[in-house]
Amino acid sequence: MKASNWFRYLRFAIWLLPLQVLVINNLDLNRFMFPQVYILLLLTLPVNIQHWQSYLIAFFTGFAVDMFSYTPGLHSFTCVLLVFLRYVYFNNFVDKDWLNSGISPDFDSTEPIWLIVYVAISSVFFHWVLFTLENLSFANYGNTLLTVLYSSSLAIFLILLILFSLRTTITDET
Amino acid sequence: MQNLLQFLRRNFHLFLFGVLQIVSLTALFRYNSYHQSIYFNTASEINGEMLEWRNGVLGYFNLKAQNEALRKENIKLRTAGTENFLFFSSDTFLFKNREGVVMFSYFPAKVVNNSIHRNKNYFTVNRGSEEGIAKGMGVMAPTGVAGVIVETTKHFSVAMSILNNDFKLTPQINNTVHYGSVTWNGKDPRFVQINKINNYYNILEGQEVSTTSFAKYFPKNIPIGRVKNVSKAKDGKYLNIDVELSTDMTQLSTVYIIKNTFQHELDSLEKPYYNESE
Repeated sequence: MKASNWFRYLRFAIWLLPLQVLVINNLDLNRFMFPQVYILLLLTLPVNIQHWQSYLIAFFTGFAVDMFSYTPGLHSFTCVLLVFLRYVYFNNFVDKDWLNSGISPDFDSTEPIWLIVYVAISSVFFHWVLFTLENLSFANYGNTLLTVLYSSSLAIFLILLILFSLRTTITDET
Repeated sequence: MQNLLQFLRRNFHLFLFGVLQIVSLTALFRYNSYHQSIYFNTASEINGEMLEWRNGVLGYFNLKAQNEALRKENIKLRTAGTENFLFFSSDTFLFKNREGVVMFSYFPAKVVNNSIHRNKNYFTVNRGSEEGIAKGMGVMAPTGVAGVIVETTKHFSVAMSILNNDFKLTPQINNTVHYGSVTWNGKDPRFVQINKINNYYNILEGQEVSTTSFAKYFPKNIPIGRVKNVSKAKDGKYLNIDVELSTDMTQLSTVYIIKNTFQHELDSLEKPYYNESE
């Protein structure tokens, strides 16, 4: 990963992680809405990043969130799994040439539709694994699925909103 | 070695993935009390299931020995029952210090041949005179009366089945009526009949039929069956009672042969007075 990418990741992390653990986690919207917006950090990693690097980044990102939500292991597990899924997704559904270009998925570098689908699949998968693992029981699985539905919908919306607003600021800067 | 290193290097990210996931899961199940409790509950449940499954499989290997042991234990327990003892105490009112000698003892046996379709049915068991089996001993299945030994050789004995026209046994019905005679009419192997019971007795369907202490070759309270059907006989004086056998005579397999220690004594004592055997 290039230095500029690291810089970009850190710049994201510095405000996105506190936003997640200090604000969004304490919002109490209703009992089904716990959007995990911070996965934006993992989704916007460069597409050609070394696997081991992405796993470590995911692990420590999740670990940081775990530290603040008193759920050691829960987010780190799900984050590493998400990065693994991302890697599988890229290997099977994405053009190899495009993969080598090393861009970070956002509104500037990718097709809007592709980005929306990518964010949606990742978000739903992430929330599904997260809440299933958190409840670890199929007794009230209907509630778990509702939580997944509401949370991931809101997360998709917020992530796309953030990406979209970042696009405008970047174009303004340039 | 070179290949191994290369393999490791090529799949380094997969190993890293696995290690990170294991670390995460360990943390999850170790530091979250909810997950920890679920882990312990599930683990002990799975463990229990596994043990049960293992026992289910291994249990088959020593079924035979187990069976043998259970049979021996059964005999011990049966012999310990008070109905098997003859009490000599002259002090009839003192129940505290009851001393007796074993009157009935039991020998386990396997049925090697069994007939049910004739009017006079017999079955063969794999114990004979060498093991102390003699003519006139009672035979019971675990669920109730099965027959009486009529012939022995060194290693085998033939017993008259309860499903035999010649079989006669005094029953007790519902612990109250203590006479009459159990016989078989030769029709249905599930039912035997009781006759010679006066019609003023109130015999009801479902009442228990068992042996009395009158029978020399069975201790008291060995089940015979349950009253299934009661009707008046043609002459109007007696009742016809159908009894559903508690033992499925068609499936006879393990039986106990019952030895009455005092049979000879009783026989020689009663011979001049009772012409008709029970």
